[in-house]
Amino acid sequence: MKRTRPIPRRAILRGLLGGAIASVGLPTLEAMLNSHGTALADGTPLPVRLITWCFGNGVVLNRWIPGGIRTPVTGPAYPVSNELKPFFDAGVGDYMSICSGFDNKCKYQITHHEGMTIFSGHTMTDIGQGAGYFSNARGPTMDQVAAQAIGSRTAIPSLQLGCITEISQADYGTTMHNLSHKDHLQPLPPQKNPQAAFLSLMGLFSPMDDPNKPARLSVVDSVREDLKQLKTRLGVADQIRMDAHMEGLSELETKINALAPLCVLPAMPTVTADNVDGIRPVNEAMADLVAFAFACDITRIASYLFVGGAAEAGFPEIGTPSQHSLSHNHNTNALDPSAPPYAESGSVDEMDAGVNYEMQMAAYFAQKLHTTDDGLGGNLLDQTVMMVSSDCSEGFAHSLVDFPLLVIGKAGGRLKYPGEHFRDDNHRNASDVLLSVLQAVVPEATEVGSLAPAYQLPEGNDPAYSNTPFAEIQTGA
Amino acid sequence: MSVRIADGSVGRGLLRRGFVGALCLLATASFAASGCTDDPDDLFEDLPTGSGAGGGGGAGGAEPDPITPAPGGARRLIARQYVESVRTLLGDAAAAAAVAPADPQLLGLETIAATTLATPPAYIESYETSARDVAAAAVADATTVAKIRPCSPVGADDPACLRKVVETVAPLAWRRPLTEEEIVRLTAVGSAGALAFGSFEAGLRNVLSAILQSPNFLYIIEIGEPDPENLALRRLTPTELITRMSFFLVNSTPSQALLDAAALGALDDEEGIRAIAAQLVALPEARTALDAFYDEVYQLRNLATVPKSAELFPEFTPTARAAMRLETLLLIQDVVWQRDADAREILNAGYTFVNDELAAIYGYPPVGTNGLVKVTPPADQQRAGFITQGSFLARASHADSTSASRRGAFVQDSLLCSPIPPPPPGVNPDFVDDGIPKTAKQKLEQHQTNESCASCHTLMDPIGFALEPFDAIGRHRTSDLGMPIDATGEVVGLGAFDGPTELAALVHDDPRSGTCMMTKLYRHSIGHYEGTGELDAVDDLATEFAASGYSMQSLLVELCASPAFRLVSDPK
Repeated sequence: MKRTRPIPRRAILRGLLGGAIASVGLPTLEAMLNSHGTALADGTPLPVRLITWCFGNGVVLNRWIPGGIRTPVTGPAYPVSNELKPFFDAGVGDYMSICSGFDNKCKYQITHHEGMTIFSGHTMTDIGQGAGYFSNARGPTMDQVAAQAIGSRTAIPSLQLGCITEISQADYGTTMHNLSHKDHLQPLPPQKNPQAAFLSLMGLFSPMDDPNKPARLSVVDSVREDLKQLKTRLGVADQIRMDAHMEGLSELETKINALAPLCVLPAMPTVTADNVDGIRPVNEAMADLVAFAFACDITRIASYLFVGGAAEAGFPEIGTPSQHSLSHNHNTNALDPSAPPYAESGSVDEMDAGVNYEMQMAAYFAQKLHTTDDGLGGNLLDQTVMMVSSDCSEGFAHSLVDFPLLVIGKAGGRLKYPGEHFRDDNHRNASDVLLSVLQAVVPEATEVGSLAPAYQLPEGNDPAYSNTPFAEIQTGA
Repeated sequence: MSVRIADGSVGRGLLRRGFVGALCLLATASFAASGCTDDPDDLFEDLPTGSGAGGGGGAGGAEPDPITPAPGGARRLIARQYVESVRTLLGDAAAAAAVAPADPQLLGLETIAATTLATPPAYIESYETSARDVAAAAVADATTVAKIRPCSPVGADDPACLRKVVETVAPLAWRRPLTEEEIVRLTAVGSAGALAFGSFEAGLRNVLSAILQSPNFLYIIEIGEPDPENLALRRLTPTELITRMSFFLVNSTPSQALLDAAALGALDDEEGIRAIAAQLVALPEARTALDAFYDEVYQLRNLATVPKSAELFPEFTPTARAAMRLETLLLIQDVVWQRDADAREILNAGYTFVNDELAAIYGYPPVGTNGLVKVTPPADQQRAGFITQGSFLARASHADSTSASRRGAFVQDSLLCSPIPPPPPGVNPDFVDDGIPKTAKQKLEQHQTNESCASCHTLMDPIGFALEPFDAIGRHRTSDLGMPIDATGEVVGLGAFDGPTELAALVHDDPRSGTCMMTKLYRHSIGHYEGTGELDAVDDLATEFAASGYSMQSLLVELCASPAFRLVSDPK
């Protein structure tokens, strides 16, 4: 992929000046709460934040599931598996629920494409048109459903970030390279450069009396008028695209109108790309940005594509040349007992180490939230739900069975704490967990995915749809 | 019903043209029907299920289908078009400040994504940042100001002078005359900036910012008009046509001279189109544009970050990666521009370009320079064209080993336009290790023992076998794990071969390779994957390309004159 351009110096200056003078979001303070500390004084529930966190290429199930796949141990007192150990090392193990035994019900398979259904509840569409490895997301990912519901309450509706720049060659469409989709043909590409992400978060807010503000707003108005007029000349597909452009313009307008954050700004990250600065520094810079954005209430929703679907991710820090290649190790095949040689074999150690490394990166996110004050005497992880999953369960045969699913955080008391290992032995729909995560942020949500007809999906025929949340991880609060 | 991004009958088109890849598609479709997906008919509904599936056109020498050209509509400028357009409009200093978002691809091409996908909010923000930076750079550049401001401002807010700026810049940037309402509105935007800052320059900056953030600049708009030669068809308006040609051939918005020529009827007939196209092709920007196209479709730009084991291949340094990319671009430039030779020589040329670092990696004699120079590789290495260059061999390998499947899949998909479908569900692409050492070829031959794998892998793996004499960074070798390499293979539709040179010759000679070069360029030129209604016109282009001796320069010109390029269907 293209090497990331360094941020121009003047952009940095603008970013710092823009932030230093003033402020958008206001961190929640105790004084703003009702007498029980359970909601804002006006009765509005406390904001819950959402992170969807994706790592491609799956896990070694026998070293992921507590107790191993043959003898899983459920409940709150499960033995910690090697691949989940990083969360305990980071001091956030008690915030984590492991949902195992759930299947990704995506209707079709194109190697890793189908795995991304775990974040949307939609089977992909446009399959194979013109190229073998081709598909598009059919509908919005869960984070964008949440952004639609609560995104307008903050200066930025949602953030899309990523880390590993290398992407798979096995997707000629939009499915695997993006963790967030606003809708069909509306992917939201992840920003993988921490400096650019920092500037997007902090650099565009205007100080209160900045003369740029009226000037920029006059441009926004003019562009909006251009879009309206252009739209009348176009067909249906392009009208949808112009509407999306219009929404993006409105997001920009909201940002220009917002005051720069009152919060003390973190320093600009010094890193720009994983292949230049290393994976861990980029990952930590991104986690720090998300924690800041949440604490300052600039946004409440973030998606993070640590490793894209089927990406040939190498982890130089631990000597892994390609986690994707390792994921095809025969000995990881825990799912098919008839496929010899199934055994706890040392040959899966490298793959296992890679998953452990990936979970160190995920655990850093949770840890950062856990160590960030939420202004209410607690920490941000108390007010967050973070869903961690992959693009397959085991890379061996791109399996959809027994999908890796972690739900981390208290979500303002809506999710069970301390977490447990929940297991379903009946191949329950993994979208049930997705829906319960969505409900932790948007309690009135009733479904994920869609039963409406779509290309290759007749009406009512997307098995990934769910309107039955996995209530066991919810408190009912 | 969701939006279909490609015409549903592409499969028929491939079959009609005898593409071998389609056989593999059929094999997979029948495999799917045996129960490996729960709804196979649904999944493969677009593919032919038997003879006679081809729509109009085929049977019994009937009249050729009337053309159904690509739909009109809005195509977002890709990054290089954005930057070059800023250069055309506002000069080099402004272009240096222009930063466009990185483009996604659809079906392997950025222009198809630019025609199909919505513009995400992050891009719109990025366009604002860029427009403001560009405007500041342009206004700070006296030469540019002299060009775009045909008046001396009186006071901070001078609407009359701002209006003149609008009338000078906007019609060129938007590639059309503006309405009075638009002129008035942009002028008011200028005044808003001037008043906010109390300076005329701020007003000027705001005008430029608004022009560059407008969808009228950011999207190429193609609506068309009735074709006077055949009222059943629509053609691009002269302005739309020169715009399409200019973005295709030189990656930039058309100059005032080109717009004027188009308005005066220079493109009213095919000869006129060819003449203007030839002028554009003669510009240095045309070479840059073709470089960028091959950088994309040959994935040369991916080399910088393609994962490679530093332990096994310490030689594969950032400079080596860059030199390999340049090696391929220099070969293309030599074939296309220096020699105007048969473009298929890119696929089997007996010479290449190396510097000392590459020569050391490949095992060629040193050339005594860091710059790349033309050399003839040692004959025993059997080098012949792009598929024997490091840029391809290293990229289409694993981090630590070669990949015959990947190399073969790329040749089928990107050089022969015969895409290979993905493996069926539930199949593990890895092989059980029985403890007996095997060459890469011996390992992959296990694909042939599994019917569901064999249907496709017989079309790609053997191609890779012929390239096994080159390791995962493109170095020549004669053994794999100490065992001699067997570089023989055979692929249906391509033939039997022994080693890289014979393979390269077959790929070069295969009629699909020339057609595929043309097809990829066509798709890129208009951001569209051809549907059934364009196939006749595209076939004609292939015939003309062959008749020209596969001259890329003449293809660039002929493509612009093709009805598939000149005509347009209703806006999508």
